[in-house]
Amino acid sequence: MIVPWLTLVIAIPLFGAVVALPLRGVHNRRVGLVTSGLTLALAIAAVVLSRFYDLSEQVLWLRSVGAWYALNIDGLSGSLLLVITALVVAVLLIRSGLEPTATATATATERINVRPEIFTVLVLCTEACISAALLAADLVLFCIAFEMALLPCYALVGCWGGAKRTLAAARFLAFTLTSGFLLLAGVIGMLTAASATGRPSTLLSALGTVAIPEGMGRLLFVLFFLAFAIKGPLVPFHSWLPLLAREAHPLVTTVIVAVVDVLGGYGMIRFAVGLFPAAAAWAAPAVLVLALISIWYAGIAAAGSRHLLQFGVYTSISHTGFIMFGIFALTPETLTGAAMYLSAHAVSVAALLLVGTVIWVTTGTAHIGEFAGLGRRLPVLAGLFLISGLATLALPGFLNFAAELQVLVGAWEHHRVLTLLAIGGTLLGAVYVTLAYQRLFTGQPSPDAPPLKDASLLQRGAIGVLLAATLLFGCAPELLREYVAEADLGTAAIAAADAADAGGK
Amino acid sequence: MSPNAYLIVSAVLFCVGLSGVLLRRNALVVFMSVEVMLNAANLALVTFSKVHSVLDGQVAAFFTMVVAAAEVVVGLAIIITIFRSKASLSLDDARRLRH
Amino acid sequence: MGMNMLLLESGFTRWAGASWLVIALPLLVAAVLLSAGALSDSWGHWLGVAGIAVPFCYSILLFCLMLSAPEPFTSTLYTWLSLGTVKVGVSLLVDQLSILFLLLVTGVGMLVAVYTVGYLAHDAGRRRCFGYINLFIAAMLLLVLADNYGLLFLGWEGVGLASYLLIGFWQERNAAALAAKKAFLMNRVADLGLLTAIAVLFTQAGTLRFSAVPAALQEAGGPWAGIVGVALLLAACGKSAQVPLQSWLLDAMEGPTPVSALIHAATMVTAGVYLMLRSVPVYELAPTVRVVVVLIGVLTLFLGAWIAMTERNLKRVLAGSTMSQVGYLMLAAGLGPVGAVFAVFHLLTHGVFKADLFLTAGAITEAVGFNELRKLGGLLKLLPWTFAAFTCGYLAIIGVPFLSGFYSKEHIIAAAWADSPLLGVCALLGVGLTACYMTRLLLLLFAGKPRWQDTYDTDSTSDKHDTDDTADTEDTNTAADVEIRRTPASMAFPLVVLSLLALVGGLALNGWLQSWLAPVFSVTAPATNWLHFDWLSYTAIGVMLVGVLVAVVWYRKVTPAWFEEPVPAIASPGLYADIIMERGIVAPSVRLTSGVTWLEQRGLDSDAADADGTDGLWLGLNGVSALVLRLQNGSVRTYALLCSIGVVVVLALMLFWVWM
Repeated sequence: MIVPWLTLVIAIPLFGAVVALPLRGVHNRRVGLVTSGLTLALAIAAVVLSRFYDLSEQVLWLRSVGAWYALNIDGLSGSLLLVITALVVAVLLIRSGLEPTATATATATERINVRPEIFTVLVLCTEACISAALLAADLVLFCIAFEMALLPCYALVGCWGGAKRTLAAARFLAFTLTSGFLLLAGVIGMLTAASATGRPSTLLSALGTVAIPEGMGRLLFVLFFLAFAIKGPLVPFHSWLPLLAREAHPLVTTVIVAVVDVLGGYGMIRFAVGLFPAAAAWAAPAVLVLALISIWYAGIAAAGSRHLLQFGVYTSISHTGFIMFGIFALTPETLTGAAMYLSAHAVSVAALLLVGTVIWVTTGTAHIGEFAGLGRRLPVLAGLFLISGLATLALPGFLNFAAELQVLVGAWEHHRVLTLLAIGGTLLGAVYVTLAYQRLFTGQPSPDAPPLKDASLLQRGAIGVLLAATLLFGCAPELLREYVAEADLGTAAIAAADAADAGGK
Repeated sequence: MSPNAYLIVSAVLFCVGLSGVLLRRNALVVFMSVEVMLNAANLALVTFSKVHSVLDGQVAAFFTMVVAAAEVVVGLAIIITIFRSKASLSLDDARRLRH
Repeated sequence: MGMNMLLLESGFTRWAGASWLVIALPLLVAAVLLSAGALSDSWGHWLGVAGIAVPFCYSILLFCLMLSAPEPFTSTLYTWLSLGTVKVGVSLLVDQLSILFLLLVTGVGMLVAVYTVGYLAHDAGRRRCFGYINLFIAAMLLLVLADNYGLLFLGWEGVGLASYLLIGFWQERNAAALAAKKAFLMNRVADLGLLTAIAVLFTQAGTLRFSAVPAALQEAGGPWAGIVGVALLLAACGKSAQVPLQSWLLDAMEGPTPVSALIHAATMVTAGVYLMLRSVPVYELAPTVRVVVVLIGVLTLFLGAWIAMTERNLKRVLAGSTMSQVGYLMLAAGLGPVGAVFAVFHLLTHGVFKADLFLTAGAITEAVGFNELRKLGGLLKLLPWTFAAFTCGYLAIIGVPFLSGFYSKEHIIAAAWADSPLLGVCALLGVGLTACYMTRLLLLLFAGKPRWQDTYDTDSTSDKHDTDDTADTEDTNTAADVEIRRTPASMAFPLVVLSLLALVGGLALNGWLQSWLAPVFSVTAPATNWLHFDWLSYTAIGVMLVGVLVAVVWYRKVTPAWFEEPVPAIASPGLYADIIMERGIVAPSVRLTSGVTWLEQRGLDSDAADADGTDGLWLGLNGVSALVLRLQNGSVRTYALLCSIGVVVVLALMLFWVWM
């Protein structure tokens, strides 16, 4: 019997969500944890099996359009799938351990307007949608999954959190809908181009061979690019994210930044660069500059940020700039590096935001003062924050560094000045991490501050496992790099860029 | 037979009707202007039917008259209802549709 | 005899192949100590000492095995990174140079660890300190054992991290937290240089191994050797506190004194010099950059001496002295392969006597309770053994004949003079300055009467370098209630060992070291003996005596009133380096940050204080939609007009299309 592993990876979270819907309290949480754990196991199994067997599935869906229900797993989507399933487990673990403490303000987990059980359901639905988007080997299926992920996310942002969460949700909705609309326009453009051939098909493998005239190709590339740049997010399309970080519940922020936003980078590699190689080579210089602006601008904003979660989110935007830099440098090493960085950054920013969540719930506020003195009161959390911060600033020994080195060295050959500026951007990481640590954890706490409960074993375990994984892969990045490099990451675009370089010289 | 004269009359009638719709405030007068526009269309249809010596245009004119009649029935009902609540037939007073 | 050699060789190979253990063990100890938490408080420090003592024993064993037949040995564990065709492996190289560093790091490390057991005996965070120290030792050993620039970078950053953690060990103190951040950031700026060099090596040279890089760079041609040289120099300047990235070293004295002894005197600040030593063949390909290296060495030599001369805090004087001596090392390393050998010599002796001086300072602080020079004095009678230990280090550093500092500085002066007389004069001047400031320190500490019983008009708040080096629970001792505490045995033992080494180390190493290191730098070992004196040596001794005399005359009778005088601007320590950095870099960055934050809040995002989203983007969107909304005015006639206009437009288009 052939087991449809990939469909199971998508279906199990949905099934779990349905089961968890009527349940309450600890049962609801247990079902959530079991489901997400099962999904993680399935994802690991799928990745391992895909090395030996071909796990792709293809079923014809819409004959007139040529859309298939097609799933496939390769280096890029496999690594990201592992990351997001693991992160969902971590988020649900942390959530199950959160208790409202006496010092938590009303915006914490206590005052929840809608039933808290729905959180599990919504997170599982999001996981299913994102997994479907990652595994999709058909353009229409990807588009549908991309759009569907909006619904549970919107509910997640709007239901729990601060006083202005509805505004944050509305903003998130506006931006994401725009990105979805642009993606849809691009997909329709591709469909018309594909249907010009005799037998239309939106399978990615088939679309790669469709010949698109140059002007139309560039237009479609711009549409796809903008859609993923909003999702990424890239400066200047990022302004939905800081407000969300301040107003939504921190776990929701973690889910959106670490789980959902991987679609930005993934889509950029798979679709924007993968489907339109010539246009990508044409747009590369401008995009590289935009990516550099993103790195520096978001890094500086992170240094100036006084809200712990907003700080984490700005570091994510800065890293996304780096990933885009790697993608559009268009060499095999930088594309592999960018793909690795996608996974590494998701894990490190998730760890950072989860630490922020625990701090926020424990102390009741996420405001970063000056010399707040939390190091004495919360030593374990201080240590976890420091390690997450070191991973974020890409200290050698962490996976982020290995990925970053790939990008920098690969881009050095063709873009000397820009790469120097990007190297300067790594300094920013050190600045904002040490600044945040110094502001939060050093200094003498005020003598009448109440004693705080440090991170529980469960929280230490969940965050610690994430950080240990980053360290492990940082010391042996070859494991990941070989796996990712097997995937076809924009080889056509690399060839186009090389041709452009050769032609220009 | 040259249809020019008839078409010019039809066009003039249409414009008269259109200007009546746009410029008059009284709802009933606007209705009459709409009728004038419909009749202008009728005239054009019949003219072309005669030019091409087929009956299609005249059948279409019948359709137009039926549509006009139905529209008048419904429209007058709406106007009377609005008149009952507002005691005014001026179109400018019916602004409930605004944002 | 042949059989013996074979056995020894295979023994050496076997043992050298296990060199990864010497990194893994302290790392494991650090992980245990840092995660076990309060459980390990009672035995943690002994585990910490063991974590360094075992590698030390291993180093001794390896050294003995290596003595008979010195041959470099590389053991590769696995491939760490690979880009394109270039692979960076976890390869550890045990050769004549790295074994010396191994001995230095583990030896001084072990002594410092024993010392820390006593020094932090009353500190609740002692176990944590041992965890960080073990982390540092692991990273430093990785740095010196690496056989390629990539792996060296891993150790380099690890050392920077350990330094950050240790400087900010007492992180409740704002000054310590800020100093740690400053050190980390300045090191990170320097690391940009190393990262650039690595990128260039990957793409232009195609290899990162020390042995293969010079040939590859020569083949690559062009300016690449020079660019790599400049980039590596930048990295070394940051790590070794050379101009222009030197000011973090003074602030780093906020950390515990044994940490200052280990990291900021003996080992980490020499990591930059180690990088220079390994890159000597690269600098041979770029003579212009070599001149810059020498220049920076000379500049730092003088700046460090000046700082040591003007500082009024015990540890900061020693920090300035370290800066100056590392300037000597850079000068020597920049002189080429010949100078490199002497740099290693001075590095080893300096590591020993500077650690001795720092640990003595720690003993003073532990005994008395503070380390500001204006409050100390007259310690000769009160702490005689400490005085003896200090004097050993003092005599060694100023270069008294036959002691360790004499030999090592001799050779550097000779090499500098051979290169250019101007350099020789600078080096001699350095000797004089060293003698002067060290004598100043000696007199201020031990001569005269104790000054802590005198009250001052301007007390503790005026001296901004008022760093109280005791455990975090101790307050500044006020005037009269200073009681001299006995130095525990754990602190005395390392002092004794280091003092003896400072006295005899130079004698032991002279002559042997040049021949030992000759194959590493491809030079012929010159013949020297311990009784070799030429006119240069006599000049150096003379300059030293002059320096001592000057200091004695100046500081013979120092009264508390002398400290009351305001410090003239020219004598301000650091020579405005901090002010330059504050005005030139920090202030503009803060302005830039607030500018970006303002833009984010007002322009693109909603300010938290506002009731609703009234930021630029939202207002813009609302404005546009308000404009469009004007069409929805509810007037039927307007709608009718719009319909008609639309019809006309469509008709026109259709006609136009048909006409076309």
